Amino acid sequence: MAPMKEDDPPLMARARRDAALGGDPVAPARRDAPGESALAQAESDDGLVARMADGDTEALAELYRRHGRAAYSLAVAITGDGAAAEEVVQDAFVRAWRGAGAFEAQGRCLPWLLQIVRRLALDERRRRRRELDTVAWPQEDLVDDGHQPEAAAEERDVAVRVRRAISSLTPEQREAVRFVYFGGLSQSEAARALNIPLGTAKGRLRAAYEHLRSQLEAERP
Amino acid sequence: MSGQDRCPDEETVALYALDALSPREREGIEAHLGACLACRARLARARAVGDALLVSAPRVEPPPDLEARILAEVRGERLRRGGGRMRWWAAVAAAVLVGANGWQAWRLATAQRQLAKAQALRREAWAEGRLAAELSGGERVRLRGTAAARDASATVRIVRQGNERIVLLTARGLPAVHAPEVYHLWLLHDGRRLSGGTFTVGSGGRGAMAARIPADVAFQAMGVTLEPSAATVRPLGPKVLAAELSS
Repeated sequence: MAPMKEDDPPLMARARRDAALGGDPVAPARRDAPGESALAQAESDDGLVARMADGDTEALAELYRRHGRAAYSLAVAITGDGAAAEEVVQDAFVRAWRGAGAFEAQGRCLPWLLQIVRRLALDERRRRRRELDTVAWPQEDLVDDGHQPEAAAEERDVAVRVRRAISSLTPEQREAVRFVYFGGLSQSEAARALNIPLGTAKGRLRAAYEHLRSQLEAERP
Repeated sequence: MSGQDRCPDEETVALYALDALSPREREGIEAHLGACLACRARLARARAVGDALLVSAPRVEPPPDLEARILAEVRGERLRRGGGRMRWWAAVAAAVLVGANGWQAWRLATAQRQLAKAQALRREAWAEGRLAAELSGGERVRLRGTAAARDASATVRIVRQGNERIVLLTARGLPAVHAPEVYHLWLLHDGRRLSGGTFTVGSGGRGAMAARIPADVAFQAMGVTLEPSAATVRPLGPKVLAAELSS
């Protein structure tokens, strides 16, 4: 019997995901945020994406070696499933490859990549919940990760600062952020899930945002 | 949310940063940016908060072969772009068209040969207008994952071709196999299990296989088991997919 790996169904699935997302996750980020991101990356990441646009697969390999761990960690946190996260990350890097020619988020390569991961992971999460009703919220504590000697220094520093900022949120604010940002719920869905009025949910999200922003801006090197 | 001509309030900016707005609300804000430089700066700062959250997840080491799988997909895609894309079912069906008789399926030596032959046969089949008609008809059976593989699912399409039927199986969500393990499709015929062939899976637990069976052999159920090798003549391993047939 000839074992054959199917080819097109993943592509069709991606097309359906795109439709569900209401757009292409690889749509280029806006150009209007130069230097504003806490994750602004060095030119070399942008250079890799430029080489990817020229068809250089080694540039994609290097991008993966730099950011594959962050991508996989995010996908695991959102999907709660290692196998699903692998699929998401593979899909995300392939999309990054295809979208490299339209990349305009200079200086924001990592956020661009991780937003692709996040959107695909949220879509996978929704799909699995709808079909299987087995999706759990990320179980791991977002703020306690310990030492990560293997991570790139800059990425590690950013991660430490972000976790510190998250840890200083109130539990209610942190929960609202997790439901919305990592769970993919809208504000009204989050309010229902948390069994609180919509206005309260909005208030918690606003307070969380203000706190995170002030902490991150105060700690920016 | 304010209209396009009005600046969003702080609460809306916060909800934008945390991606809690509806797509329509978000589009409204982004439309406003085109006309308001001040809000571009506000929303860039807001976006930075969302960007920062993306790296807050606890670090988990990805599997060592993930990089190779990504590169293989990208390189394969580039090859296909060069040589013209082929739909998966055309590849499967074309491989079946060159396949052996009865229960035996065709095994091609290399992926390149497989692709080249399949493409040639696809062109031939399309020219005869035969393949499209066959694949659009036929019976479709959905297999569900058992307790051993709850996330798995598969579709089997059975199409008649002359005195034979072609069985096309596509599966996803199956656990990875470790050589020489294979997945084995079994067809239940008058209380006997007949082999429908074996397959392995790649990324996402996806796999596909094709087989020819005689048109006059009725079967009442089908299932897929995980077998220690392709050599087993009866199911030894756990059942991972199953379906009862209505007729």
